[in-house]
Amino acid sequence: MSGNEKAMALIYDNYSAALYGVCRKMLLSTEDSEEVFQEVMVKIWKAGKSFDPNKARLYTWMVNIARNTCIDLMRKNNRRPQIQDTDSNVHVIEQKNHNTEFPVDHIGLKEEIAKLRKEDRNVLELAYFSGYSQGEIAKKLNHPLGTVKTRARKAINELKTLLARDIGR
Amino acid sequence: MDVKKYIESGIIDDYLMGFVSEQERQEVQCLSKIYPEINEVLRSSENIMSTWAADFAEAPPAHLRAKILDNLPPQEDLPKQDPTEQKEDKSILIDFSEIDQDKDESPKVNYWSYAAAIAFIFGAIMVWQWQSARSSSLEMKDEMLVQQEQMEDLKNNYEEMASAMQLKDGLLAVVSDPDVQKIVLGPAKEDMNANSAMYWNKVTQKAYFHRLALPAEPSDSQYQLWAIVDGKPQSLGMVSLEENVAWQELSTVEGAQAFAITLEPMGGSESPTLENMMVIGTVS
Repeated sequence: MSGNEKAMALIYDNYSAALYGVCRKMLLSTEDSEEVFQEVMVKIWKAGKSFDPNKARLYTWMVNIARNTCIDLMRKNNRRPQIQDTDSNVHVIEQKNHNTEFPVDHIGLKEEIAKLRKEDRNVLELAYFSGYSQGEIAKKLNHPLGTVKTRARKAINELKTLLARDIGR
Repeated sequence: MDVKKYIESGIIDDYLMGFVSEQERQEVQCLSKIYPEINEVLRSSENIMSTWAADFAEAPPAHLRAKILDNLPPQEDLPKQDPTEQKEDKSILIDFSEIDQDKDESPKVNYWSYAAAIAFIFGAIMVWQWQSARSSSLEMKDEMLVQQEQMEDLKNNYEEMASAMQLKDGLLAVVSDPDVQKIVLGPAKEDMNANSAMYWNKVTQKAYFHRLALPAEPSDSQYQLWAIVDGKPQSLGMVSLEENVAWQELSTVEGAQAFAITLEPMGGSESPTLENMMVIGTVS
């Protein structure tokens, strides 16, 4: 096993749960998620040499690859995941077993995120994970267009405050 | 370009949410390459979002680990495309991985670099145009605001003048009436410096008050107007505390022998406080 392959194994062990989680959240179907997740890992492997730590945090760079690969598939299939019911969704997430090592200091992260208002978090999830446009979210949630943007911005700003200590290169 | 304003507009977060038009999307990508401050904010917002995404972590099926790690393809030395860049429509993007596999050094590669150069120049022109349009529209907006304020000032001046004119017209109409008698109210004590005037229409019995030169009232006091009828004081009301009200129309008063003004507690008194009499004048 070459040094690069060892590094890739290390990346896999540390980040696969977070990246697979993004795929699952965006695509919902296990089949699509597994397929895209494999594609994401290959992309990371292939583009790994071009990764510049001065330009981005490794983890963020990989999440962006995962998100964009998912969005590509959504567009290709010309479909998007169904709007999820927030309550049951939260329930499912809480049931999950977070036993994988996380790329961020995970102590208290959940508690901090839980502080976000449900309505704000809902908008943020739809925008970030579903690829819905502002107008589509407004329609789905029956909110005025401006409210969608306000809520998303509010949620991001709160996340910025809540997660400040987890962020760093 | 005002980078701070651009960042404060919140467009970077909107970009991450996908709440931007195609033009704005290109703009954010382009400007983040030009301005390090914008890039910094973009990266930090991306970090926040990806940290948040970790909250949805879910371990992939165990069999995938070997499947992926044992089948890694050859690594590319320098992938030319940043796989993290947000893109709107894959169909318009060039798949460089396919080109790289094509070992043939065909003119196709040159074609793409020309295309990229043209696209870059085009993009730069767009950004420049956007910036100059934005800054000139901001300047225009500022100028309009200044003009609006000037208009507002002029309007206020005009309104003040109009009301002053109205007052003077009213005063003139009263004093030029031959039935109206002017009663000068002089200082009640020798060392006082106070002057006022009453105008009294003997036919209609209507009284008018002109403040002229009364000292400013202490904060808890107010001037009260009196008419002396049959040797007894009769209140005509209070002198207005409002600035600019120098001319008051009062209730009618019959058979007034004199008029006087006293300083009373706020709201006035039943009978005048004689030691606080300011001005007095008798009807001739």
